[in-house]
Amino acid sequence: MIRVGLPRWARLAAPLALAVVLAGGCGGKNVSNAKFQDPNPLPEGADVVPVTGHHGGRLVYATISEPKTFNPIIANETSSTDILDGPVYSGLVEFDNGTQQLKPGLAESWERSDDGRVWTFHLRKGVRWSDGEPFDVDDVLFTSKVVYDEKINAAVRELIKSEGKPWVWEKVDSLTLKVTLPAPFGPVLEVIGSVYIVPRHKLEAAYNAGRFEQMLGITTSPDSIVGTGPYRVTEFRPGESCTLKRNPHYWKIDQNHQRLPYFDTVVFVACPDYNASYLKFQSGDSDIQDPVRPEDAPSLQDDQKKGNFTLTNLGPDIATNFLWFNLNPGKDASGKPFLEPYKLAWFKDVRFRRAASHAMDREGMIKTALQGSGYPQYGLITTANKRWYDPNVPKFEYDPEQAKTLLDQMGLKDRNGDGIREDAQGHKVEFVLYTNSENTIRKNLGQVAKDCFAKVGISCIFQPIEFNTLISHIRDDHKYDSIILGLTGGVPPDPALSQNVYRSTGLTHQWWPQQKTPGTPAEAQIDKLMDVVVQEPDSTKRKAAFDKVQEILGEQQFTVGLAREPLMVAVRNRVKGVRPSVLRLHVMYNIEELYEDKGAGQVASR
Amino acid sequence: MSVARSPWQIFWKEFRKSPMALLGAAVLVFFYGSAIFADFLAPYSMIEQNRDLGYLPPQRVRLASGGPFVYGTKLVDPVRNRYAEDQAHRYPVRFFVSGRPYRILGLVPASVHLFGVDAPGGIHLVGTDQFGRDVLSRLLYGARISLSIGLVGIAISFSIGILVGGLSGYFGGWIDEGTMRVTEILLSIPVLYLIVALAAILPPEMPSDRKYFLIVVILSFIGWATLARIVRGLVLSLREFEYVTAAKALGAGTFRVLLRHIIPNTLSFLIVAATVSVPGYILGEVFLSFLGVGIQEPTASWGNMLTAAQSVRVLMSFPWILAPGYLIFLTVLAFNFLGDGLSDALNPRKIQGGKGG
Amino acid sequence: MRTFLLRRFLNMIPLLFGISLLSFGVMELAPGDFLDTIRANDAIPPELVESMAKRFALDKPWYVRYERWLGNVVLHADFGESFSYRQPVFSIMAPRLGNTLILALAAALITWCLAIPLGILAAVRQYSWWDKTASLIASFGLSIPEVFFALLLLLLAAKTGWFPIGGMHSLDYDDLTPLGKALDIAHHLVLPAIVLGTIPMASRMRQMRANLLDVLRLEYVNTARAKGLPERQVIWKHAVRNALNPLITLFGLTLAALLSGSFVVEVVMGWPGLGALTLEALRKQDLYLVMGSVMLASTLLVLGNLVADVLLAVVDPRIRYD
Repeated sequence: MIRVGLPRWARLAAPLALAVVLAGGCGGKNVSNAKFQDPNPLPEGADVVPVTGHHGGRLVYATISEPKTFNPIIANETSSTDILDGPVYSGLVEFDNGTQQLKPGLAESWERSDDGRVWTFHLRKGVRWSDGEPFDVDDVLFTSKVVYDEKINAAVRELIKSEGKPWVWEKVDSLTLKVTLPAPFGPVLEVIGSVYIVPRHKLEAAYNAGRFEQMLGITTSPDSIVGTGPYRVTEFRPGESCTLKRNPHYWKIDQNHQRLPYFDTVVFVACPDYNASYLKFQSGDSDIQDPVRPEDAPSLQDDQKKGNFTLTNLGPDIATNFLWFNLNPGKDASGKPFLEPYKLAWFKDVRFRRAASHAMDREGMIKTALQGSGYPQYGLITTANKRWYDPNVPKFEYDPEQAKTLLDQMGLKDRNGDGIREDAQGHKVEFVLYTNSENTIRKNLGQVAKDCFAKVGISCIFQPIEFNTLISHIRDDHKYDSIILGLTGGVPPDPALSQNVYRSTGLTHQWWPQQKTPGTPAEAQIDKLMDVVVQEPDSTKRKAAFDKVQEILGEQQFTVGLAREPLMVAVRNRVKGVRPSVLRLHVMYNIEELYEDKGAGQVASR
Repeated sequence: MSVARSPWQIFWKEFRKSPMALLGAAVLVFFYGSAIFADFLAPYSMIEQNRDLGYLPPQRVRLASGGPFVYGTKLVDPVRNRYAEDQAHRYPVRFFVSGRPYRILGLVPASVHLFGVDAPGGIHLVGTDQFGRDVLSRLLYGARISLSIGLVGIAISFSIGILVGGLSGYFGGWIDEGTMRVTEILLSIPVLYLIVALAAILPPEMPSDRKYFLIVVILSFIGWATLARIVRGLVLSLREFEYVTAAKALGAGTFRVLLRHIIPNTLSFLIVAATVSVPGYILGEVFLSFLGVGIQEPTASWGNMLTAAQSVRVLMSFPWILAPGYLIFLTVLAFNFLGDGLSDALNPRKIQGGKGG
Repeated sequence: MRTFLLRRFLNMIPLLFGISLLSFGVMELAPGDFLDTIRANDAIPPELVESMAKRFALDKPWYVRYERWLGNVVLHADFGESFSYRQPVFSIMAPRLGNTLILALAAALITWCLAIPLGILAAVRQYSWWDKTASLIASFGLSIPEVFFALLLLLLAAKTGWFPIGGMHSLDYDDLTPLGKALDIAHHLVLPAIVLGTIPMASRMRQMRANLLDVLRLEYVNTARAKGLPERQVIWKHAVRNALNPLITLFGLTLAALLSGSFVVEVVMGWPGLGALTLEALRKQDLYLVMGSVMLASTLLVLGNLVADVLLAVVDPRIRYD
């Protein structure tokens, strides 16, 4: 390998030679003329992917976070899972963010028994860990043992249980796995796919010694981080970057029977914030800007040619921003209700919640809070969720007059001429609206919402507070009036995996969590429908049931949708094989298929 | 030998020598005056939004025979927030117009404002922010918070500091020992850590005015310890001076000695110290806003306005949003100049004819 | 002197104890805990959160946690495990501390190399054009909000390409020669060190100027002049040396202050140091990581103070310790 261009510090000494240095040193590319030669034999059961590309090169991805651990079992933040789940570790089943479909992973095929309770998985033959050790069913069994271990805080543990009971994982032979469920469950494959398999030969001793959680911390030597993903970690600089190199034993091959992945090196650069990552992208130091903030879109739009990249608008994000009112009628330990009974009476009235939706100037929010581009939101599921979105969800669109009519009907009228409505008992229609102060967009949405409420005669005191405090209001003391927050939705975006949001017993059933019995007929109906969504093996029936859930939620306006920025990404033109998706990681999820087109190259100049 | 002059005359003679200090004082008088009369000077309230007019650049005031006027504006590019003048509409700038009601100095009700234009026109001399709020108005109202935070802050921290330091230095013994241990602990935790940690315990749901007060308390809580130690040191050394010993011998009470003889002698030091520590509070408010725990929107403070400018797009495309940054800079600069001038003019060697030193 | 040192060292024990109690108390006063963020994630089941609470003793009252923590610190020199990294706090902090130290040293270098010559120049030529420019620079340095300054420099880097945008190493760092590596880090160091060094530079310069002016007024300087020594020698040999003493004693303190004052710079400029780590830990309420960091910073500050006192005693015979 020959390095082209001067070392970067040389720019200091030779600012005049800037353009020259940049042309050569941009992204510090390594140019390899040698033809790709695979040192290892291909696995018999290799997955042939319908792509072609060239090997070599380096991909730089700037993020605003960094891994906290290299242990995929205990990792529970996207900062870690972005690097681990997929690039470094694989599961039996994979989910393609682009098509939003499942596809074979370490298991090349599977069968389901007629009652949907017994699943048999056939593992690929000849797959090896990145250190060359063979992979087999024992690794899967070890992983399941670790995940079910109550002493280990495995994020996926509760997902691979039915009615609170673990599934039974059994070895049929070294490449065949049988999983038996105590009760039928809808998204078995989705859930199995989120269990990332860890190497038994590396971790069993530590597990037996009770040290599994401390294994694979960020101070671990990269050599001991072993996975079956397309890349392996070769260097980690805390606060700066995490470097991945090709896994020479990866089990996917391209059309020409060349082993994937293509890029030799992938660097995740940790930036302190989006400003820094944007500057890095603009100056050519990184190849991908993901996501592009609405405010940066105009200048990136203009610079596409100069910077040799493409800005793609993926449409509405799968994540949502919404407002809800506290509907919890409970009392605290001293017998005081969580919120004043007269406020609860307003909030419980569906006309009030619909009026609130009519009051929201979503276009105005887009113009200001979202810097000019965005989409109004009405339901909890957006069009981005290809499989589950229901277009028939009722929309209570911006219509202040309608809002006023509804409020009048409720008997909330301005009785003393101060511009703010009062109820029949003379209580001023006034409430406090919280959001988390760390989120600028939500803070901005709240500013607009406050103004919108004022226009229909409601006094809204908007108060951004710290995230932790916000959560303790939602979860612990339930003392608040209303909140703006969002739902991000996991990958795959299957509602059964976020049933806690929809079920009245759920902890994240924000407006009234953990109900003993459903508080409203609508919620009782939703609970029943969610049983179908979670347990029914037939996907058409699941979809029909969840459509109904969305429609009921829309009618009831338990959550009042606001607006969301479009999801945009910018990718250098030299990076090929990109199929951007609205699901996280929007560009990097098919990391093994990305390659460098050497001709499409270089940033001409700054 | 010249004729004996009062310390005040000497001070004024010295102070006048420094043009930068005079300039600093003038700037501060102007800023504080503007803050006090913000209601009258600001053409808009600090929360009025105009969502069709986000990031409007500063408008140009044009002159015509009929008096100054501004053109209307039209949005040319909503994504990039580009505007053009709508020359079909002229809005003359009117003075002493009637507008939203307020109270002069919080007392006398009034509704007259220095200037304004007739609806549907708008006048935004420093442009508007993201929500189409008038930046000039927000700067004026924000000045109330940002500028007063320093004064209230030193009032609190100096009261505590002088009291604790004075008592500690005068009495010595276990009082001294105890208070000095406490200040030592406070001073041994790096300031920023202390601010950040204390900010985390700010009760979250509170109106801006109470939050303001707590922020001042937090900043003062950090400030008093240094001062207490310095005052203690001064008192310790002054205690040994002859005139104090003499006063004591004459039977003056402890507090009398402290108040009449010792504290006044630390006065020139205290004035200078106060002047140069005001900027610390102003910058402290900026730091808290940077951490996201300062005064919350929509209430304006220079700190949270500057935080809103912390994005590349704003820096590049909407530079007027940086206005609070320049004002903070100017204010702090003015305080530093004033502090220099004061410390030169109040130099005890000059005023007290070379005593001490 | 020896008893003084011993006493000061012993004094540090209750001091550090007080600091730990105060910081722990403040951390515990903050509403919520580390698990709140995890609780909010609907992909993570509540059972898991409960078991984590047990593991971290977050279900116990604060004094139980403090007692355990203190016990481990005193008995095993074990400062606990970070909640989010699941590793001993010092193994997380160690590389970051090194980076912050590099930054602080660079800033200190800028501070002293600029502050002292400029201060001397300003004092020697009082009221000259030099003096005025220097004091203007100092005022500028003291007045500009750090956040604002850091952002402006970052923007400059982006526009000109003369400096890297954040970080500490370039991507090709590993391929460089040892000299290249050093220069690479130095190149990344320039902007953050300027931001961090500006305030102390300005204040040290003013101090130097004031000290020197004071010394120049003293009698022995006049005596020296009267003896007919050349002005250069009077200033350098007699005055500067004496004016410098009080500043030198502050060196340790300045360094300690720089070490713990780098929050803003590190966060805005992406310097992978302790400040950025601590700020994130504070926001997440990663209790023991914060405690580790506070204790480290405080200990450094206390030591810096001690060194300053000792140096002062060494250079200034008028100060006696008993």
